[in-house]
Amino acid sequence: MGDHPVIGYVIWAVLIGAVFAWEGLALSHISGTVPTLSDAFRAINRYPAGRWALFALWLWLGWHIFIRGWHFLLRG
Amino acid sequence: MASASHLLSQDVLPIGAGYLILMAVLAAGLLLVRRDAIKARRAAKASDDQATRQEAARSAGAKAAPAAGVGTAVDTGQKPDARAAEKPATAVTDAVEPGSGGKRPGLIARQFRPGWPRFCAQIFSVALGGYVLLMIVDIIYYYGVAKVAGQFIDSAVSGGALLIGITLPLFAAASWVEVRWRNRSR
Repeated sequence: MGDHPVIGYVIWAVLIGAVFAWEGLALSHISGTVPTLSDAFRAINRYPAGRWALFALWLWLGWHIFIRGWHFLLRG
Repeated sequence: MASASHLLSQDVLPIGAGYLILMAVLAAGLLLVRRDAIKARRAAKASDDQATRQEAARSAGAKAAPAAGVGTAVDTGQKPDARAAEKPATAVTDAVEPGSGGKRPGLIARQFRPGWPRFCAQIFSVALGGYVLLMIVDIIYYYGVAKVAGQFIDSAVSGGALLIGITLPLFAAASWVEVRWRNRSR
């Protein structure tokens, strides 16, 4: 698990699981009032500040996944 | 104590900050969705009320016309035309373009003519706005919350620019192919 305690990974798993649970609940139409993530993102995308925030989040995610701590292949 | 501090700065704060940002964006989205639903209900109710009023006015006019000899124009039927004539310019610039999924172009993109120029302006304005926003958040985070090691700010500036530099040309190429494909299949 690297240098980090297990609880950190557990918290991330719970948060991501909660997002999937939310989406599942919305798509199942059980409650009828829970909007899907697509609905929420569509609503946010209508406004310039919302588009900037979503793009910044996307950039932040890509930066963390692909750039930070990344080393070029075969580099010493 | 040092490990507790390390845990706080490397695990708790990033998780907490990421979670709060994501939840704030989603909360804003939910509020907007709810506001749209309320607006749609109000619009539907207003439309129903207007239809009822028009129906009542029509039936009243039909009753009064034989007595007066001349029918009176229904006021509500004339207003939309007058309103449309007042705002022809905004109707053109703010129009929702076909295939846009109901989204309107931003303030900057509206200065460009529809088609590729407006599309490029929209993409560049969103990319630039998002990039600047992320840099502001990173700088506030670095100087206000935690001084993350490893040339954090340099990495944020160059990493974000690199991602944009890689993805925007790919996105432009994919969009061009998609438009060509759509035009050919017509």
